[in-house]
Amino acid sequence: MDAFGLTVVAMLVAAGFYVISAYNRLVRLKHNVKAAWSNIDVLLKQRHDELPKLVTTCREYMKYEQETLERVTAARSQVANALQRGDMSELAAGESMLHGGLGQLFALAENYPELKSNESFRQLQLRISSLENAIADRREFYNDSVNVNNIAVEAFPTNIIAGQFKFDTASLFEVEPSQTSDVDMKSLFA
Amino acid sequence: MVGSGVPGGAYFFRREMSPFIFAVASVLATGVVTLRSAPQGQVVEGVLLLGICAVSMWGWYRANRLWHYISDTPLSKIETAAQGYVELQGDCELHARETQGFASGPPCVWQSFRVQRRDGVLIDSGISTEPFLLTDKTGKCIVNPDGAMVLSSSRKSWIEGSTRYSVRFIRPGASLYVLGMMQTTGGSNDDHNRSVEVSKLLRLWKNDPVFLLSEFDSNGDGEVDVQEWQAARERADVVAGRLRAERSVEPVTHLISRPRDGSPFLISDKDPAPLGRVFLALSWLNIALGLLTFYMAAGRLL
Repeated sequence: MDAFGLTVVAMLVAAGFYVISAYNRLVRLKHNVKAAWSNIDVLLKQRHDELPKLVTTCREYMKYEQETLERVTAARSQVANALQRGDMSELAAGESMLHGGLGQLFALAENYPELKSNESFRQLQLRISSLENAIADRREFYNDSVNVNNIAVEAFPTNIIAGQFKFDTASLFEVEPSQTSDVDMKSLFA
Repeated sequence: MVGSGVPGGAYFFRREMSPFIFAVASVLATGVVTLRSAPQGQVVEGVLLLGICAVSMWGWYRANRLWHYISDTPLSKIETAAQGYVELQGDCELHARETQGFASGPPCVWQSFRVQRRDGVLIDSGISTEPFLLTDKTGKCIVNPDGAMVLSSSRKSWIEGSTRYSVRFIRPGASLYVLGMMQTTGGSNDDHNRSVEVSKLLRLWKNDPVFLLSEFDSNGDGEVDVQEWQAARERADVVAGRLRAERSVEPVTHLISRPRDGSPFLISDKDPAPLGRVFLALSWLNIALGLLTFYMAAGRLL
């Protein structure tokens, strides 16, 4: 074998290393997406556990806001069902509804001084708000992880390896823009 | 604290080079096999070129791996970052103790130095391992730089008599990028899962039959029946809740340090996007150099 032939063999060896490295990268990205989802899932479950306590506390004081309380309860159930089924579009819709309901609930609580001064309510409000912020940040992180994974799965040349070994794209966790913007106070008190 | 030597050097050799040893050994073995029939002068050149090829391939592997880790890890915010391998960006600050700058220089959060004779012989070297703080809009995180690959653009070198001094450093307030393993202790810890905590406690009690029977065998028959096990579950739930409440009053501390699984631990005062492009360019440069030197070596040795 001459120098050129041997170099071609070396290039093939290098290509082999590239395939191994690309395969390992796709595995790592797939697990990154799973881990990023678990990080949201754990917070969604914690919020799911806290919401009934909030609704119960509010129900004692907010006699005339049953509709808002029921909206929060319904949205909570929708999120839980979507999580169970792994339905991302329903989850996003439930999240939007829940976020809107909570924003409304906290705004309306301002009209109830006794509720506002209730220690349990204050702690729950703080806890749920902090969970909401953490969920929003981790949703962003999850979507970034999904983007990185999907680009690797679809872009050349890793798409060849992804196709051969059946690596799939992942679904984004997108919510309506209203969830990421501030609550419109004017519309709440109109 | 500034310690002598370079902590992390052995770590990088073990963790990052081990998968590559096979490739290097294969290239060298090919060289040895072809040595026999080659004229003497060309043999030396060929072996040298093979050595350069091996180093280039190692460089390709390292640069390609770092490029992937940088570009594949999304940015996290300190306060809401998940536990595990994360990428953070923020400004650095001094932590508990300041690191005095080398040779009476101003304080810095990190530094490494080399003292060499003019002919290049190393007299002394050191690298700081004192933790420092990284802050972003959401919070603060302690960075333990022990074992990190630090890429600092701030450097200074000067000559005094027959000695050459070189220092690389990071000053407080510099914008930093850190890729490493994050752990959080104290606070309400959002990742705390009560059912996991309950399972842990139950497993612990189950592994201690004396305790289990003394606490939960209410009818004294030497076994824990379904009802008694339910009581144990309820007790575990109460204990888990109390442990969580106790932890929640502890101050929250975030720490980023060297990952144990061999993933890169990188600290840099450069932005991740250009840094990633540098590693990508380096990986292409190395593979091109590796193949070229292999072709040249083969021409001399065959």
